[in-house]
Amino acid sequence: MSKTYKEAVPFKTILTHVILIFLSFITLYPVLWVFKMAFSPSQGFSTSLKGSYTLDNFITLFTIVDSEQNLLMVRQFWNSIFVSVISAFIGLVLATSAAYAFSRFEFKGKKSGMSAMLITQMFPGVLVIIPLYLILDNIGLLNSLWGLILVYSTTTVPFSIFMLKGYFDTIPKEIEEAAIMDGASQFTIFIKIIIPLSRPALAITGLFSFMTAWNEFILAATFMGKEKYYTVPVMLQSFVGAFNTQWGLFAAGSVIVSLPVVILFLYVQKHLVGGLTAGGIKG
Amino acid sequence: MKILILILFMFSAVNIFSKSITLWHAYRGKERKALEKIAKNYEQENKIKINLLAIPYDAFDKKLTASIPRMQGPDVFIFANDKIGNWAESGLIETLNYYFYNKKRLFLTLMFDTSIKAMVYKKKLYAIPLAFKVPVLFYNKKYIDTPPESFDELIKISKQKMNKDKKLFGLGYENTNFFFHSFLYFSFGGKLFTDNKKVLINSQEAKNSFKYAKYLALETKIMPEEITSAVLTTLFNKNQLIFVINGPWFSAEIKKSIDYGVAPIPMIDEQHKPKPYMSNEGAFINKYSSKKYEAIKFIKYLTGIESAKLRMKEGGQSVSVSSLYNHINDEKLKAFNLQAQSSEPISNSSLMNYFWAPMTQSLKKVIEQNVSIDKALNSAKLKIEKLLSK
Amino acid sequence: MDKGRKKINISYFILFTVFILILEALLYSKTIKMNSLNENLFSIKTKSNKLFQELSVKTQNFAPLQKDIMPIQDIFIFKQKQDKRYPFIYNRDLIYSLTNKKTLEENSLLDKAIYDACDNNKDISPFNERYIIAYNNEKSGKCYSFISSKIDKLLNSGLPQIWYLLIGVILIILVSFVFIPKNNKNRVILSVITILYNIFFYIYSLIILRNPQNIKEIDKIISITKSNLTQTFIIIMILNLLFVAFYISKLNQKLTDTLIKYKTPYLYILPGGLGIALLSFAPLFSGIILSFFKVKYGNYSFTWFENYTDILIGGLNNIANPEGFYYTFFITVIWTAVNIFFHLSIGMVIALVLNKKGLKFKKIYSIIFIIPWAIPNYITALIWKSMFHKQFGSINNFLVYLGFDRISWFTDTTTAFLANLFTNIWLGFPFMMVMTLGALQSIPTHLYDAAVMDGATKWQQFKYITLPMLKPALLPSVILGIIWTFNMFNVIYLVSGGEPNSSTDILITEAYRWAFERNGRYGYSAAYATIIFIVLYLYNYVTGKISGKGEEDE
Repeated sequence: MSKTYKEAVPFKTILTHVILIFLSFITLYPVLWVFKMAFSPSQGFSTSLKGSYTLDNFITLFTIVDSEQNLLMVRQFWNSIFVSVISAFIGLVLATSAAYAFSRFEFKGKKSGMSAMLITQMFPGVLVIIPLYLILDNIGLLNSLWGLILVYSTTTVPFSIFMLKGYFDTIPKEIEEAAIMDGASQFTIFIKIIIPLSRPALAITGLFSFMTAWNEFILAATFMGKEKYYTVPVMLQSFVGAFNTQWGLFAAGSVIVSLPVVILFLYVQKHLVGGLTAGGIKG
Repeated sequence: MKILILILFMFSAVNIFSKSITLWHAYRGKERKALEKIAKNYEQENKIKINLLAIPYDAFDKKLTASIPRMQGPDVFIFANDKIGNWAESGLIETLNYYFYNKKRLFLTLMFDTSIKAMVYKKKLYAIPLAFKVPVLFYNKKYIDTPPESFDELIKISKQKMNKDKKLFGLGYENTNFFFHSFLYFSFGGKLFTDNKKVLINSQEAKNSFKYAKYLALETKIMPEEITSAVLTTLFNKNQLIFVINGPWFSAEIKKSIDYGVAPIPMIDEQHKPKPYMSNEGAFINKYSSKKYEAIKFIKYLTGIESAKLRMKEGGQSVSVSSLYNHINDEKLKAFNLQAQSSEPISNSSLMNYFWAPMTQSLKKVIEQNVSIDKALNSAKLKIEKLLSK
Repeated sequence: MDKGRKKINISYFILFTVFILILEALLYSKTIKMNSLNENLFSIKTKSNKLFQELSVKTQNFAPLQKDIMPIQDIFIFKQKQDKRYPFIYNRDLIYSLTNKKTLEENSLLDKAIYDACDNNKDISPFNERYIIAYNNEKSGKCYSFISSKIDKLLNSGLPQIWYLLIGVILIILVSFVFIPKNNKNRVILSVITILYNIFFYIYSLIILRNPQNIKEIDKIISITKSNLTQTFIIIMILNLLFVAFYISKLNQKLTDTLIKYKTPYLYILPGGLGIALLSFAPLFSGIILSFFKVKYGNYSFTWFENYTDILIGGLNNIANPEGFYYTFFITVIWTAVNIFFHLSIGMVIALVLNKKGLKFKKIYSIIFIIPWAIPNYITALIWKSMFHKQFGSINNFLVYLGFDRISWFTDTTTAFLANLFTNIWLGFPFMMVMTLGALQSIPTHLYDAAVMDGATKWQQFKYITLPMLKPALLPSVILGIIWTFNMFNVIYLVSGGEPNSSTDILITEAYRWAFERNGRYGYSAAYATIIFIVLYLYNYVTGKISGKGEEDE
């Protein structure tokens, strides 16, 4: 049967690639600017792609030190990774179990619970700085990365639940019923069957949670009291001044900031295969 | 053994606790290094630790207003003066009158009057001035050796040079940003508001300034369209712009290969001397700080002549100590000094915050959207009055 | 018979609430209050004679520049008396206002006097907060000052602590009346118990917060921090909840049964739910409460629905006004709809193409298409803005190359909107692409195999297999996308900046401007935010009903 695919007309393939290349060009064009400014010696915002190129900005970035001569860039990069990975992981754990409940069980308050998840997304975050500050202050997690982790992991949970529930809904109940007949407990089913089958959704939701934490600026800047606890977006924003911005450094920083996301996405892509095609039903 | 360590730890904790102050700032690059050097010097002389924290400008105000009332704020912080009114009304900053009138009151007379005036709100002094920023005239020496003395001369030279080179522009400044339009606005005698919350932006003087800005932008044909700071930097660096009116930060963006000079903004005409906005930054003390005495001592050091010299030389700041400009040879600093004497400090009243967006919008309407000056200013006035009345 | 019962129930409810409110009002008035924040005044009402005697008043009139200054009303400064330690307690700002001194110089002379009063000793600072409590110990000749920051910490907490308690109690009452079956006796019991321990708390707070009767108590007050009081409040609230829970479990069999019956799902949800309740709902809740206040210079004043009437009814004055609520709302809706349409279509198409088996360079393409999402949108939004520059932007340069005129993108509403649109489409399609890629994995391939065997064309496969199976998986992403686009702040703010004349501002940028460009009018901003929230909630409710019906059909 699959042979019919391989006989696809070459013209179609070429057309596909042409369209893809065209779209890629549109996608990459603005990015060229980012690279231009990252490698340019001047700190002004470029309006053309021509000019000289140098690695100075990257060197400066990596050699920024605080008043105690600690290298900040590496430390802040690590802070960001630490916070984002753990937030994503915790968020995923919390969300997966809750989403499973929402998907598989019928219980009182289910509908309003789902709405509640959605509701948390609707309130614009502009005004939540002060309440969150108060809460963290009272708990004592104010100047600590764990405070950020707490905030990030719980704020990614609602939309994670929402997305995962949608995915769990598409897993047919027959699989679980078969397992129950074989004598497996609910929890075992959850761990051994549902989770492996949901790899794509888990991967994407994890990526998304990671990105939310990775790009978050204002809470990190407000809650942290020492530069060595800053995360990377804060470092990036420090190049934006009252009257002018150091675009060279900002662009170089942006390039560095984007790399982990791209790498993570590549890794996630591996998990985007499988799911129900892995022969789960046939057994 | 453990107890011993614990005791030692408590000892050192107590020590550290009692002998350190926290300072927040938004400096980067050279200015930051200069500040760190000053802090180090002070630490060594006085055996007190200065904890510096650099905060991105965008987050500064929010961080202060969130942390100060909750006792998490710094002891000292460095920032511009425009939010003093708000902060004072909210009770966040300490009054420094005593410092102002201590035995060595001569100390503060060293500073520019306008700088000190900028730090006073409702007759109380809230910060000690550190440095200022004021727009000046940058000119490309490829096209002209000495700066023009009047705008007529500037326009003439521009037109002359532009005739020969079609890609060249004569003058560039962010004409739809009220901060830069200020050199015209206040020179023509425009005012923004009175203490009684009366809005004065549709006065004849204000309209005249807008008229002149429109004239410069649309009729002389020496300016590019839709000017942003990016446009100014690019054009100047490509030798396609002769004159730029911009702040001191512009020099950091100019390519090393461009030979340029700095001068005060030329006279607009016989009666009108340019009076651009002056942004002042000063050192503030947190009202809830428990180390104010130490903070004052440090601020005294930070704003003193020795530190000012360092900040000027290594940090590239235009410091507020006027005496340091007397024997200076640097053309840039001379220009800043001269311009500072004919400038308008940004009002620190809380009312000021209402004016920025409407005035910028009015400029955009007049210059880019062909709306009449009367209409633009009148509608801005109505908008602001509505906001004030709420 | 039922109506009669209802009447009695309601009257109980009202009585009970009123009683609690009075209790709390008394509690509030007894605590140390902050006077008008404009003057930053603070006064301890120490009308206690005992304190008077112990503190040995010298004179009744305020006389500046003297060492034993004694201001009017409730503030005292005392000179030490031989071996005894006497506190200097005063409020510097109050003194300023009392003395009517208006010049810098005179104010500073007062400072000088205060400073001198502690013998110019360098160990203390005369500037400590609004409260300076200094002991002058004649023996050692030193002046000690207590940092009264802790008192300030106690008192400076934005919304007065009392509000938390009040809200908590009202919630408890509401909850209890919803869940407890219609049985007056039990309601009375619950009410009585709640009243009892609230009284207990009242007394407890009186003890903690009472006016200092002697120096020891001043020390004590100083040592109490705000967090202690907050902890007390939290304990009381938890107590409230426990009581209600206890009574509910005993009294409302149905609810208890439900909890036991569904304990598995509830347990699964509990960890996530707790975090969400604390860190997502609490700020949301406080944001909504904030919208009922008017905030000026950090002063909060309760204004009922004034903010809302201003926005909604004031906006009716001139509906077409681009700065008004209705125009902005209209633009926001159009913005959201158009964006989602393009995000979805483009993202889906690319995902479908990339999902094909055997597509070469698939990895490279997917990296390329993920990049707009990966790069911080602050810089890319500004790059897009510069591309739309009239004279130097790439887009106009390209148009000129094709023979068209330059467009001034940001001086006309439609073109400014389009500029925002292109930027946001560029930023947003990767998300839908990724979601679709994930959703495509859930479609079993044997369906396609069967369809091919039946002779279905590619388009038919798409229409009858792909689309229907994608729908449930993509629906959450679309809903989330709608919400996020509705609230997409960065693009509008950075690209068009709302130009021309606020006509491309959406609701969220207006909310932002009220908070940060118009002098911290957080109340107004919160009202905008709450309206956004209500709109989105209603939308979700309505479409939920519609899609709920759809689901039943399957």
